[in-house]
Amino acid sequence: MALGCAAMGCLGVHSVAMPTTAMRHRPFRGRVTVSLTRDPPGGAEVGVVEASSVATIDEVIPELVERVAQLGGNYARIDRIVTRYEWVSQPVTQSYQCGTFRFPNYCTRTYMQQHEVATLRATGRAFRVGLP
Amino acid sequence: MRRALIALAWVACAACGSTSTFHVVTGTPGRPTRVDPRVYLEGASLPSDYTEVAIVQAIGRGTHADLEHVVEGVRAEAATLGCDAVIATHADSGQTQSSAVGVAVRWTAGPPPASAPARAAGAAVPWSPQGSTVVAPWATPQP
Repeated sequence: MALGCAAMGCLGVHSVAMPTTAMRHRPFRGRVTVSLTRDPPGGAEVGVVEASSVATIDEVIPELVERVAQLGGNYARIDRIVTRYEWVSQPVTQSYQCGTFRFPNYCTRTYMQQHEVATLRATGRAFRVGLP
Repeated sequence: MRRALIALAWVACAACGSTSTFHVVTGTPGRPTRVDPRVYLEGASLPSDYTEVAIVQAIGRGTHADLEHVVEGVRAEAATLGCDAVIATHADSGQTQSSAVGVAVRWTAGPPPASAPARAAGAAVPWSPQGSTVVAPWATPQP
């Protein structure tokens, strides 16, 4: 993961939240319900959210939930969690002894190394359930 | 000596793969269960009587980067949360890694009835004659 982050130049989880109605709500401070299979009965959709990272679900899902709460939602309906793989090249620098016994010296060389990087992306919708 | 080398190579090869599991709790986990949770891929028909407990993920690397290992991973993770099944399971594979994500659930109205056993391609279809008719459990009943 660290290699992937270094290769992609990423830091942490990228996320976005976009309201889908003209109405704006205060951020929700309570517990947000999360579901990957059910829309909330009687809920009002307030926006769409997305979070992605080279991390795993235990980092991506909390970020998504945080975005839902920022939109004023108290129900996160996750529609899709997918992992995409891509090969990225990363420069690797090595140091090695290149001198002689009498004249010891260190040299460095840089070469490109390829890694397969997995990016986890979760998309969903923010709902308000039972809130004015 | 040769046997030792083969055994060493076998052990080294087995160590080339690993499966990591993760979960995010969304409901109330139970005690770990010894019963193997059943895994349903996304799109499978399911009863609606279930409670979501957690989102589970398994990542297989190296020789474990295949569907078999990641499905086993989400199943094992669901078992540690006391769940009956993993539903909506979705798997993605790269060349050196695989990942499966699903929803660990508990049935609230008992387990769903077991579906008819899948028939392997080319395998003989079981049937039983009854008078002039054939009882074929896999066939659509005639009106």
